[in-house]
Amino acid sequence: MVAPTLLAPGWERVARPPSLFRRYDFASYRQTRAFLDALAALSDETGLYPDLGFGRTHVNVTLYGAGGGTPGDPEVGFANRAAALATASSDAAEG
Amino acid sequence: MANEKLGIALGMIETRGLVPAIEAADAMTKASEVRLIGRQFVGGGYVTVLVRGETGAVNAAVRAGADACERVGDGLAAAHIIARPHMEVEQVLPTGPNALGGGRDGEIALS
Repeated sequence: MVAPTLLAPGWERVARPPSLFRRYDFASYRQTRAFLDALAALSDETGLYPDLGFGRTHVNVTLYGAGGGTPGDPEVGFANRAAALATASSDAAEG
Repeated sequence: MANEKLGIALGMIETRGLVPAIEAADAMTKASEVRLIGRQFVGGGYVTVLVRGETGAVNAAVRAGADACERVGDGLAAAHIIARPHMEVEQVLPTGPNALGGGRDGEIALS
């Protein structure tokens, strides 16, 4: 049996509807936009499109499983890569 | 199926004031292949514009719309993208900005 992939810190599993959720806060709109651009590229690469809610300095990401089911390894993998992108976006926008 | 030709994703941008809403709508429709399906006057000066289209197109459109809001002072209140709205939600979404009610609350899809 394959062990379930570990979820990156900060992400939470939501029971109803079954989904993965995380809020990211940023220092500026520039950082927010950099993260959104990176996330869009990740979506195009993986074919996974989360629901996104954002304002000037925050982004809420909600990932659902295929067909509305429980999120599986692809969604967990997406979440983990998104976590890395958030850090990179913050660093890049500051630089 | 209702609105099948519009694509599945729904994009929304809520602004403070009408000017950033128009700016956002203009930017969204110029940025990618989306349809402007409504603008709703929420109250208190808040306006929401809604677009439909393919998921990637709606994502790009909403990002462009948010940028446009940022250029018009403090216009961006919130933006949201729903990749696959539930069919129950489809019934309360506007069908177009120029139909009865002009995309306001009275204008709902009749599926």
